Parts: sequence; C-alpha cells; structure tokens
Amino acid sequence: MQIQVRCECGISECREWALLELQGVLEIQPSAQHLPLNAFSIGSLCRSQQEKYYFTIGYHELEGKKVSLKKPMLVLQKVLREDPIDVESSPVVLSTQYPTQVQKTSELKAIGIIRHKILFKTRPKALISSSVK
Amino acid sequence: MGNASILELNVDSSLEVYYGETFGSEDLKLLEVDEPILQEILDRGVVIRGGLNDEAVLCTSSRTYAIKFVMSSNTILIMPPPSSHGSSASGEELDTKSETGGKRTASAMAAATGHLELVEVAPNFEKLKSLLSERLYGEDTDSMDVEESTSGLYTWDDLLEKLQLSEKELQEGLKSLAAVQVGGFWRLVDKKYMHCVFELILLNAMQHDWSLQGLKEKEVVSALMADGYSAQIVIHCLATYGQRVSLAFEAGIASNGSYDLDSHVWELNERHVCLHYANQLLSSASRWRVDDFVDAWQQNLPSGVQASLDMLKGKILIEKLGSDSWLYPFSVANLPSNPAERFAALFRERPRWEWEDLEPYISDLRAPGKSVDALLLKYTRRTQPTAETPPIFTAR
Repeated sequence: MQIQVRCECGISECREWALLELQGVLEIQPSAQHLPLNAFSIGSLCRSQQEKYYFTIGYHELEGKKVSLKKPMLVLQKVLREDPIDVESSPVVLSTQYPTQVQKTSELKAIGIIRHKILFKTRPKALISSSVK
Repeated sequence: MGNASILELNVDSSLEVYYGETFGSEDLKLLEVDEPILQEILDRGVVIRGGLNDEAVLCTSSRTYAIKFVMSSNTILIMPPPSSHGSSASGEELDTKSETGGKRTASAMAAATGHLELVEVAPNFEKLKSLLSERLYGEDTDSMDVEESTSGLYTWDDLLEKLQLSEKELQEGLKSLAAVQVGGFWRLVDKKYMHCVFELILLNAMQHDWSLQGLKEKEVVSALMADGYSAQIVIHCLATYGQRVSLAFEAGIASNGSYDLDSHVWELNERHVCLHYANQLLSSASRWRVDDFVDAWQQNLPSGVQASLDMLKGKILIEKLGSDSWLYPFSVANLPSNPAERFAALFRERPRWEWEDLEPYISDLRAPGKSVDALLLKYTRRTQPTAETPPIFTAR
C-alpha cells in the first residue's frame, strides 16, 4: 500500500504555521458544555517584552517564550481522494445510469511548516481578584 | 479563521485565541523532518509504504525511515496563519488600548497529542529476494515462448507497492541480486541456470578462440541461441559477469568493410571467471588441501586468466591442521544481513577471528548511522596480545 505525502502549495508558498504549547489540559466549564466549541475563546495571548509572552486562560496566567524548533515540522492533513478508475485499462465496461466508479485513495497533504512555537512551561499563576468585600 | 499570527505579535500587544471552526473534527498530524526531507516533500513529495501488518515507513527517493509517534503530555495547539494577507495585523500597530475595532484574533485548528518522528532504517532486501524467488527464471522458462499466467511475477511498480524501499534502494537491491527485466517483469535467474549459461559462453569462447576481453555479443548470442537459450538471458549473463567495452574499431567493422554499429563487445571480469571455476571445484568436494585446490583451479582456467586466493575472500575459510592448510566454502551471501545475527553466525563458525579474515564477512553490513568500527565495538571484543601480533576479535 502506498500513501503519497505532498504539498500542493508551491515551494515558496507553503506557509508558516505555529504551535502554542502548554502543560495541562484545557477543560470546558460544565455551564458552557452545551455550546459549540468555536463560540468561545481559549484565552488572551500577549507579548510583554521582547522575549516574554503571557497567556491568560480563565483565571490562570501562564508565562512563556517563543522557541525555535530544533527540526522543522510539517502539518499533514489526511485527504481522501476519489479518482475515476481508468476505464481504458478494462476490456469490458458496464454502462449504467449510476455515477462513474471511483477509486478511493488516502493522501497526506502538507498544509503548513512549523519552525517556532510559543512554549509555556512554568507553573501557572492564579489571578485572584484583589477586591474582597 | 483568525486574522492575526501569534508569531507576528508585537511587544505590548495582545490577541485573543479561539477554537477554530473545525476544531475537533480535523485529522491533522505533525511530522518532524530535517531540511532535505522537507525540501523533497515540497518539491515532488514522498511516499509512505507498508502492508497491513507492517510498521509504516516513509520513503524519499533514496532513503527509508521508520515512522514513530512521540506522545506529549502537553496541550499542543496548532495555529494556522491568518486566512488572507489583507486582513492580517502585520503592519498595523494596534495596541491593547486602541479604540478602533477589529480585535486581533488567532484560531487553533486542532490540538495535537504528540508528533511523528523519522528514524532512518537500513533497507530490507529479504522480502525483495523472496518475492522474486516465487518464480525463478530457469531452464523451463527459456524454452517456453510465452509464459501463461502472470501470478508471482512483479513489475517495478508492483515491487514498489509491496516493499518498503525507496526507489534508489530498490534499484540497488535488484542490481545486487543480478535481477533481469524480462517482458516488463523483474526476474531472478536460477543460479544453476546462470552458471550453465556462463559455462557455455566460456566453452564457446575456448572452442572458437574468442578473447574473453573482447567477446562479440552477436557471435555469443547466436552460438547459444542455437542451443535454445534466449538472447536476453545470454546478454544478462554477459552483463552480470562482465561489462560492455567501448566499441573497438576492429570489432565494429564487418567482413565486407562496412561499419557495424550493432556490434556490442563484452569483456568478462577475470574474478568472475575464476570464481566460476572455483565454485565448480567446491561443489565437487567441500574440503580441499589448499595446494591441491590452487593447482586444479589454475588448470581449469582458460589461458591468460590468473587466479589468486584473494578472489575467494568472503566465500571460503582456510584453517590450518598440523602442517596442512585446508579450505572449505563459507559464503557471506548465505549469512543474515542483520548485524546482530551476522556476528552471531560468524562466532558460531569460529570463536576467534583475525581482522583480515573477518573483514570480507562484515564489509557489506548496513546500519544507518553506524560505521564498521561502531559495529565492531558493539558486537565484538578486541584483544591484541602484543603490538606485533594482529588483533583478534571474539564475541562480546
């Protein structure tokens, strides 16, 4: 079995993607679990100084920095291709009203290159409102 | 889709990270590559090969890599760049205090649980050998005009489909097995049959007084075709045991003086000629006193061909018993190709090896990233009693 791995962007056009990496697991609050995921934001990312990034998720603040990957990574997307079967190679062909026979092949499409990530690996700081009444 | 890139975030600015629209339903994988593999994927693509029961491998045009999944306990969000350049935040200096709308956003397309990494592996030719051995090309095949069924016969594309090799490695494998392409299918010729054809070529050469350095393809082929051998096999034999020489001017001129462009000329490799006769002697008796062997060997050789025991490195072993030296067949071609198994087999045969004797039996070993010295370090123990005596290798 063979699976092709290729990029259809054109050599100079395969765009650069990025990774946001943090320790821990993101959880949706029970009160929001019925909503579609893309209805809310994960958090706010800000860059304070040249090298410092802060990611605020819920009431946690993470501190991190931009890191270059030792080796680049490709983002691969699984694609199911349907190609019409080469009718000419078959001596007998059945002519019907049904749509043309297709051959399904799996392919992996490279859709982005990753060379940097923003990595958060320090302990999160809990942001608690300072006003207590 | 987000409108900003997290990599282009300026100092003292921020953006909101969202779950992308297709988050959770995307099937994305992260593949770690080096620059050469990256370039090849962008230029022309690479192929993942494997059967249902194999571990998948990634093949570039020249190498093969095992694919391993490295799991991470972190949450890894995959962030695509902004959807179109026009709406990206680059160039705009919006800071968090800006009043004009258009808040910067980035969206995560998926979360990865780890990434795939590539580990180079040595090409495995065992399966190629076993596929091509399903239907060996032998005496029966040559006498048939057309082969009826094509089951057990493989074209180049069939082989790529079934094996886990890159194209360059497949080419290498076919060459090292002396495979020949007949009617579009790659075939392994039965060894006995090859020896038979070679023997006939040598006999004909002696009979007609042809020079082994300048065999005319036309003459050789027609002599053997008269005995029922196909031209293809004869030429394959010439190519396996020799090489084409540049067209000799005299050879190119036919008897009527015109220049014959079809006249290919072959030179047989002296070592192969000698090996052919050595093999004949070894199959008649498996142990020989070295002196007797050398005499019989030289006697059987066509005139002008000089034999030497060095030609038999990797094919025979010599041991001293008393004042006599005896030799017996021990061929590297019959040993396992996996380094651990190879050394085990070698030390089963002999517990102690001198470097000169050992070298021909390990020079063909392939382990990516490991030199011969590294293999020796891993699988053998080296001792050298004095500076003058040669080093001895034993099992670790």
